[in-house]
Amino acid sequence: MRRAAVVFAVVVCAAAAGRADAFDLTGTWTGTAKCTSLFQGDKFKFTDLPAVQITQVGREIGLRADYGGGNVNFYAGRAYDDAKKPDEKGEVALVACGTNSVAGDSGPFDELGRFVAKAKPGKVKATLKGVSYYSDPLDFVNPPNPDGWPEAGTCKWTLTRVDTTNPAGGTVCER
Amino acid sequence: MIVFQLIRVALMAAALLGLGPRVATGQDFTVTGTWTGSISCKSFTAGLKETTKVAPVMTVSQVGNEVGVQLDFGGGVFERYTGLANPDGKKPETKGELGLIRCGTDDVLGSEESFDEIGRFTVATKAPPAVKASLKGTTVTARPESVGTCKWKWTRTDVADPGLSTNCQQ
Repeated sequence: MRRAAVVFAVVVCAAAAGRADAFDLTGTWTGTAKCTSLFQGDKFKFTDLPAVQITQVGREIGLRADYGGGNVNFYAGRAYDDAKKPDEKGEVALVACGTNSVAGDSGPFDELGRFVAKAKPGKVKATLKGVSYYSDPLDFVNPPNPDGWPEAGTCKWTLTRVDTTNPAGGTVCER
Repeated sequence: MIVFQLIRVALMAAALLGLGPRVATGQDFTVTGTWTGSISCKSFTAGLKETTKVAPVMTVSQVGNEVGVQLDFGGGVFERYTGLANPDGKKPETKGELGLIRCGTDDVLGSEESFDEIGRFTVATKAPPAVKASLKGTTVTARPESVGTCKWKWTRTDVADPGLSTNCQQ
């Protein structure tokens, strides 16, 4: 009876995850996002050092990037397993919460990225590297411009996992 | 993005000192017209790498800095994008960048009909009445079963305005 219960629990978990052998990015990560953009006619480069927390449930990923000083960005993501080593590597798409197809709205910026993930089972160390494109952080204020200052930028992300404790964050963007 | 905010503060300070950013002159570059070219994509689909190339007809309308793009794949298949033109500070009338977002893009990945795409492009034109212009750049795409990177390369062949809407709601 106990064995049957255990088997049932595994099936339920596997069904909930949707994938039996898949890499898992859950944990705390450190690294950099090196970005370039064209803003107000000039090229800019800047580097962010976010503290990143990831929660993964099945294919769904939630990422919280804390830049300090109360600046926090949230992303929703999706995992795509490698065909040969699905439990060790694959790719990930991440989209910034608030992304939409309304160019020039004054809301949150739009950002979408593609990443390569490597995360061996049972190991803390894992890497997540990729490029994101962002647009639409339309700025009407600095300096004042009734039409807003458009921008499009590129960020190269390099992250390494330092802890596999689940931060228990959400995996979908809140409304 | 925190460093970006600091940069903006620095820009505001520069503006107050008379070193401010470019001011729109009304003569910024325009990407309006019909374009020929191709989109080459490398995607990760069902765990495997895949390469595709398509060559739709691209038409573009620009009103101010707002841009509407339509890709015509033939057979009544169209895809639309919205975006903002971003003129270069030194040669705003002929050079700059363009950010494009595929209509329907949102922050929900993996929904059944989801197709999200955002890209950044460089634009080089010549002063009117020259038709020739180039638009090159890269997008990231995300669909339920694949994530990809697409390189766009286009040359303008006509400057007639196709009269497209610049937003996805129309």
